[in-house]
Amino acid sequence: MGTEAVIVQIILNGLMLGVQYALIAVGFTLFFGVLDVINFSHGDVFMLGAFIGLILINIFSKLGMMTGGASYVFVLFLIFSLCMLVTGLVGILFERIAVKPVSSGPPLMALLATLGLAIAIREAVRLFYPMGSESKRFPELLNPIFAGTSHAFEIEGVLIRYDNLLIFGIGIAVIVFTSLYINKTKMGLGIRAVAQDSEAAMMMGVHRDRVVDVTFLIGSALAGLTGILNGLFYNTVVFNMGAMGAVIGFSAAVIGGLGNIYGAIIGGFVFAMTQALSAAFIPRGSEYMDVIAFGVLIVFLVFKPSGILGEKMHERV
Amino acid sequence: MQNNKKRIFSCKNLEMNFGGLYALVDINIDIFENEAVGLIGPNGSGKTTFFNVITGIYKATGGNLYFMDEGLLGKETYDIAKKGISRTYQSSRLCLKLTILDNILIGMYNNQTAGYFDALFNRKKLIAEVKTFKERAIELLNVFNPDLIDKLFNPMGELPQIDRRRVEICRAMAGEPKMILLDEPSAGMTPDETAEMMDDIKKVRSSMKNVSIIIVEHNMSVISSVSERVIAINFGKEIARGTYEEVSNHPDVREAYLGKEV
Amino acid sequence: MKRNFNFINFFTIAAVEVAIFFLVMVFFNIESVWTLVAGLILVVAVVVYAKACKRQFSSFTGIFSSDKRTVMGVLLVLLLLYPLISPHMIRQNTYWLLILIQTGIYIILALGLNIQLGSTGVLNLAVAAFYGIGGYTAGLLALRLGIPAIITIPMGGIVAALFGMILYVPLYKTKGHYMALVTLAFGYMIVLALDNTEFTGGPQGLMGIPELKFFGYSFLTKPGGLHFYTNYYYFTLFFVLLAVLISYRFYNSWVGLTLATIRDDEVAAKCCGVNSNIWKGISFITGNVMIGIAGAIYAHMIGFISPHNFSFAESLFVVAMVILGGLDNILGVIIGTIILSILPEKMRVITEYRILIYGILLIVIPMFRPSGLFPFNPRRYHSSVAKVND
Repeated sequence: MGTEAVIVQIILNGLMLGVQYALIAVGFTLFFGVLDVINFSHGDVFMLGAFIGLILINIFSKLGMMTGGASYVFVLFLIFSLCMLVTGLVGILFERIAVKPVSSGPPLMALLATLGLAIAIREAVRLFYPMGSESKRFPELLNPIFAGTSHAFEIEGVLIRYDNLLIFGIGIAVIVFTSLYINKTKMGLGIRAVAQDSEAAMMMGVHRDRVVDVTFLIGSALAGLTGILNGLFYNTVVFNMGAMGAVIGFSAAVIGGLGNIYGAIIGGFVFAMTQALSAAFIPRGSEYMDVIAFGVLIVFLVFKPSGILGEKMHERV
Repeated sequence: MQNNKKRIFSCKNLEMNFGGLYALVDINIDIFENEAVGLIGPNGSGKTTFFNVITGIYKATGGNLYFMDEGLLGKETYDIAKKGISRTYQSSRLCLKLTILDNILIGMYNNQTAGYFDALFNRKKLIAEVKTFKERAIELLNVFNPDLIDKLFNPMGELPQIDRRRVEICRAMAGEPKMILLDEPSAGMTPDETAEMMDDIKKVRSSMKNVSIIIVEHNMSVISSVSERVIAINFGKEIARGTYEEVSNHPDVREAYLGKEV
Repeated sequence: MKRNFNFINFFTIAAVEVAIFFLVMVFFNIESVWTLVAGLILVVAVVVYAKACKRQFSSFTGIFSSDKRTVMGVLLVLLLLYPLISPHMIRQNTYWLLILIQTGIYIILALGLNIQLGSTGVLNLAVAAFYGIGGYTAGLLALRLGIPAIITIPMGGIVAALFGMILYVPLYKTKGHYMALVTLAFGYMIVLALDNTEFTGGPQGLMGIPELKFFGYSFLTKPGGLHFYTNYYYFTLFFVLLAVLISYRFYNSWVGLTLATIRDDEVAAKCCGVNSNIWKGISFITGNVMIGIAGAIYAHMIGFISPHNFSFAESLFVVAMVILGGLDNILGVIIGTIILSILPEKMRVITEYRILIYGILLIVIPMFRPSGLFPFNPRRYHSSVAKVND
C-alpha cells in the first residue's frame, strides 16, 4: 500500500472506531458527572442495544416491512429510534435497581454493584437469548439504501463504503444532537447543574432524581445506538462484545477529562486513533494495539493527570 | 514590636497568584513566640489561602516565608509539618471512620520511632510507644473534654461537632508544635458551643507553654477574647493591624465588612 | 496474669467450632439444589433469630470475642486436622481440597490487595497481572533454569514488587479514578505482553512447571496414603497464616494508621507530616509481595499457567472480595474471600445459572451492607493498649 493509502486507511479506521468510542464515552462521563459512579455495566448495555436491535429487525422482518422501497429508510429510522428508546428505558431500570441505591454510599460499593450488573446482563443474554453463547450475524441493513450505486468509492486506492460513511454520519449527528441538548435545553442545564453540585442544584429547584433518570436514558440510548452501529459495521454481534466496552469508555472519558462531554468525544477519537496508528505502523501492531493505546494513556495521564479538558481539581482545603 | 521575644515566623511580600487571580498580595506578617494573633477579613479575602500557603498546600508564587529561620518556600507540606507547624481546618478534616485515639495519634506522627519493620518484628517497642502516646492523648482530652476519654476507641463519626473540633485541636497540639493555625474553629457552632470553644483555645495556651497561635475567625467575640493583636486582610491585601479595638474601628475594615458609608 | 481457665467457655467454643467444621463438610457433600436451599433457609433463620433475641445472642457471641486465643487455637487445630478427616467424610475429597487450597491462595491475594485498597485506598485494578507476574516468575525460574522452590516462591513476590515500583512511577502523580485507570491500563499491558511473547509461552503459557520440592521432599508424594494435594494444603495454610499475621501486625501499628489517614484524608495526613507519596508506594510494594507469592504458589501447584488466568476479570474478582469484606477489615476480607470463592463452586450444582447469580449477589449485597460485611473495626494495637480503665 502506498503511504497515502495507509494514511487514508488509518484515518478511516480511527474515525469509525472513534465515533463508537465517543458515543459510549459520552454516556460514561454523563453517569460520572451526575452520580459520581464509574458504571462498569455500560459496555454491556451497548451489547444489549445490539441484541435489542437484532430482535427489532427480526420483528420488522416478520411483519414484512423490511423490503426495499421508499418506506425503507423510514423503517430503519424507526428501528434505530425504537432501539435507542428501549435501551434507554432499560438503562433507567438498571439505574433504579442497581446503581442509585448504592450511589450515596462508599463509591467502591457502587463500583461493585455495577460490576455485578455487568456480569448479570452478560450472563442473562448468554442464557436467555436463543443460542446466546454463539455470535450472531447482524444483517447489512444499510446496503439496500445504496442499491443501484457502486456501494463505495475510492480514495488513494482505499475502498470507502457508503454504508460505513452513513454509520459514521449517524454517529456524528447523534453526538452533535446530544451535546446541543446538554448545552441548550433546560433539562440539559439541569444535568450540568447536578453534575457540578447536586445539592446546590436541588436547592435551585432541579429535580435530581428526574435528572438522573434522563441522564441514564440518554447515556443508555447512546450505547444502544452504538450497539446497532457496531453490528452494522462488523456484521456480527456476540454476548461478550461489551466486556471491553466499559474499559474503553472509561479510558476515553478519562483521557478527555471525566465529567466533560466534549472531553469524552475527544477522548474517544484519541483512543481510536492511537489504536489505528499502532495497528498500522508497529510490526505485529494489531495484536499489540491495545497495549500501545493503554501505554499512551498512561504516559498521557502522567503529564495531564486530569485529562485533556478536565479541570484541575483544586480540592477545597 | 515585640520586646525580647523570638520571632518564629515571618513572611515578606508574600504573593499567591492563581493564574491571574491574586489571592494574596504583598503580605508581610511576623509571628513571635508565645503569642496569639487574630486574622480577620470577609469571605474570600485570602485567610485560608494564607494558611494553605504556610503549610505548603499551595506554593507561593512570590515573596518568601520563614519559620524558625528556615525558608519554607517550595517545601512540601509534610516537611513543613515536621518543622513544628500544625493546623485545623474550616471543615474539620478528621478521619471519621477511625477511632478518636487514631485521630489524635496521627498528630504525633513526627514523634514516632517504631516504624515499618518494628511493626513486624519489634512489637514490644511499638506497643510501649503507643501506650506512651495514648497517655499524651488522654492528657490532652482531659483538658478539653474528659468524657471523651472513655470513648477513645469509638469511631470519630459518632461525635457532635464541638467534640470533633476539640479532637482536631488535640491532634494539632499532640505533636507539641511551635505554631498552630486555627481556621475558623467556631464555624458551625451555636453561641453556647462558641463560648466553650473560646475557653478551649485559652486552655490551649495555658496547657502548652511555648506555642503561638494564628486564629482565623469570623466571630469577633472569639477574636477579641483570644488574640493579643489582630491583622485584617481584604482581597488578599493587608488593610489594618493593631489591637482588636484599633482594627475593628479602622474605616477600611468597617468598609470591608459593612460596605461604604452612604 | 493468668485468668482462671474457664472450662465451660472452652468447651462451648470448641463444641461450636467442631459443629461448624462438620457442617462445612456436609455442605461440601450436598449435591441436590433443594438441600442447598434448605441450608440457605437455615442460615437465614439463624440470622433472624440472632436479630430477634439480640441479648441472648450477643452474650453468646461474647464468649467468643472475649477469648480470642481459644477460638484461634481450636480453629488452627481443626484446619490442621482437616485433610486427615475429610477423606473419610467427603465424597469428592480431592476436588474440595483443591478448592480450599485455591481459596487459601485467594486469601493471600486479597490480603495483599487489602493493604493497597482497603488500608490505603489505592484501587489496584492490575492485581491479577501482578499475581500473574509472580506466577510467571516462579514458573520460568523453575522451568527454564531449574531453580528450586525455596527461591522461586520469594522471587515471585520480589519481582511482582519490582514491577509494582515500575508502575508506581507514573502512578503516584495521579489520584482517584485516574489512578485506577492507570492500574487498569497497566494490567492489560502486562497480560497482552505475556500473551504475545515467545519467551513466556505466548497464549499457551507455561506448561509442566515443576512441583514444589523442599529438601528432597517432592510435593507429589502422597503423605501416608493421602492425596498429594495435602502437601500443598499445609504449605498454603502456612502462608495464609503468615499473611494474616503480617496483615494484623501492620494494621495494629503506625503503618496501618498512617495508611488509613492517607486513605481517609490525604491533606490532613500530609499536614501531620506524612509523606503520602512514599507511603502509597510502600503500601503498593508490600501488597505486591503477597500477591506475587500467591501467584508463585499457584504456578507450582497447578503446573501450568497462561495469560488468560490473569485477566482483568480476575482482577475484578479479587477486588470484589476485598470490597465485600469491608475495606481494611482483615476478618471481613477473609470471610468475603471464602464466600466468593467457595460459593461459585458449590453453585455448580445450579451450574448454568451460577455466574448470573453471582452477578446478582454483587448487586444485592452492597444494598444491604453498604460498608461491607464488617464495617467498623477499632484499631486496638494490642490488648494491653485497649484497656480503657487504666
